[in-house]
Amino acid sequence: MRFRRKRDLLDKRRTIWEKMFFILLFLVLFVWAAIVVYMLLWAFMCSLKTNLEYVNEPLTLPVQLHFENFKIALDKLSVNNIGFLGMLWHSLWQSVGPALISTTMALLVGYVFAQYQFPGKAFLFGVIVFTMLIPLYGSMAASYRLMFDLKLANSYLYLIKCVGGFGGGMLVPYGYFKAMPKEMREAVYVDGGSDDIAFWKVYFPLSRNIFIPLAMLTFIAEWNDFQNTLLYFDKMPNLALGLYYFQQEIQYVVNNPAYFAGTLIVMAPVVILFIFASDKIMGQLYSGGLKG
Amino acid sequence: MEKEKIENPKSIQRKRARAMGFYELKRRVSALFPKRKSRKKVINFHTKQKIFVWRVLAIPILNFLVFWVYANLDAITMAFRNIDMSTGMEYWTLGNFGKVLDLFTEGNMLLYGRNTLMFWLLSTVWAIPHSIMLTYGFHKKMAGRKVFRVLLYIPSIICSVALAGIFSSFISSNGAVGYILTNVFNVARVPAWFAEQEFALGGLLFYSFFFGFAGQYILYSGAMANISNEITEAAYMDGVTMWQEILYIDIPLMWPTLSMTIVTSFSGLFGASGPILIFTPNMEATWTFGYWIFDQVRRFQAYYLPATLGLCFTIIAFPIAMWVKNVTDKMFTTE
Repeated sequence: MRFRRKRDLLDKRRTIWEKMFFILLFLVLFVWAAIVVYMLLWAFMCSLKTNLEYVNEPLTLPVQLHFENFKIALDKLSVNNIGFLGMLWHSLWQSVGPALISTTMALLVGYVFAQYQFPGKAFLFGVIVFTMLIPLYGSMAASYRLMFDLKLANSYLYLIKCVGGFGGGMLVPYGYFKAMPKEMREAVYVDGGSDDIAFWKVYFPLSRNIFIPLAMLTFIAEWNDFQNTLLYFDKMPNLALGLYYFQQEIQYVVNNPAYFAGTLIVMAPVVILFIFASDKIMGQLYSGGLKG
Repeated sequence: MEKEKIENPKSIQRKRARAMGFYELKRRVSALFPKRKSRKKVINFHTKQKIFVWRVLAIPILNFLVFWVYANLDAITMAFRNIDMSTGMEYWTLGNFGKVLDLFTEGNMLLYGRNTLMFWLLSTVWAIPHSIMLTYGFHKKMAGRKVFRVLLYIPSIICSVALAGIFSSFISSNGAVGYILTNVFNVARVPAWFAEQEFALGGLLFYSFFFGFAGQYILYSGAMANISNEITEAAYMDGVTMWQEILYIDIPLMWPTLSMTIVTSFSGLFGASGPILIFTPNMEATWTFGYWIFDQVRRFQAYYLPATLGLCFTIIAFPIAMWVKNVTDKMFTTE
């Protein structure tokens, strides 16, 4: 066999066009990343300025650090007489609740589909795939009415909606549990354990590799969500909705540094979580798409 | 004759009890009052498993029936219903479809359609190929990949309201971009990008492009990571170029993931939208079909017309999505 050019994966020798591609890709990403990082640092810098400083010299460093902007932001973050602490609580329960409940349910359903044979399994699996394929555009109106009819809107009962797991969300746990040996379950039976013990004492602890990133991703999505809150929780607003109203207000009452302080306050929990758990999330996401 | 001493029967019982032990006594007493034999049902091992399975699935299926099946059936029937404003009673009608047609002939629906198509093209035609290139670059261990992959994920974790707010301030006349345009490039007037109609849609598209830069990259990186190194090495030994590798090895091997994103993007054809609610909620020139439905429900609690429009879109998009699925299923398959 005649090799035109022999090289292995680690070989860096490439054609000029390939090198150009990698250089171009690097430059594009570098410029993009520089703009994003600078933009975020600029927002942080502006949050410590006075409004006059911000308007006159938006690119310079603050002469004095005005941490009082954060206090103003905390006072301004208010919707329907619910202040910062109230919105923080709503953000917490509206994000931690669904993250824990829906992820656990998705794991349970995925486990059952992956490890057990039961009548109707193929049909139910087909239903799940069908729901993912069919485009439904008009269901928002019906869902909105249903939420208010069942009195789930503006209520802690909203968490009932999260007790699902029957849908596309169970596919990742399904793939994970499918790869796990059934012999572990059989060993539990031999030791006199039940199916509940098999799941909660054996499979569930072993599935923390997917539970943690899935729960974190749900938490982040719910923490940042303001659109659903706008629809269903106008009387129980979260911080994202508070920031949305603050942003609408800022068009009329100009105090940009306080607004930047507000954005940083809302961003902070998720960014801190990401800093500490990025390895966990990124590792799972990038090394095989949450396959565990 | 000495009278025989008669022992107290209670003390005899006590002595016996001490001698035989408490448990023996308890057994004898129990024997005096036999219990009815309990009819404890012995449950079959397989039945236990079935009970576990259905116990686990019962609530999720009930939840699905209420929040998916019922909600969608209600949405479908809403297309054939309307409300009599004078009596507040619902009635069955086909008139909603005529009203939807009127929206296209007299309203701004065609404009929303054009905007929807632009957002969809951005999220599909642009995002999918460039995500593949990005994934390929990272897969081949390009310089700075570890930093870039964390940074690419940041726009996804930051609250969209916060990110959009910072971005709009950053590019505004008072922000950094405005300052540079005015003082370095001597631009006389920096437009209010999201407040002026001629720039607003472009601004929304640019924002979606800029912060959707990672696109489907996260999904594809998992698929590309599963490609065996041996296959790529063998191809290198045969002298493939980078483009040949992408076209003839990587894309076919990650096709299940790729085809899934293509099918779902076609099924979401009429739902494509941008951050309109944050930037331009009052500028109809930037609206999309998806935003119009959202706005009708949120502001006016109008159910029937959005449900009718949604049903029409489902009727159009479902066959398209199925056709795309059939086509993609046949690609890169060996007999």
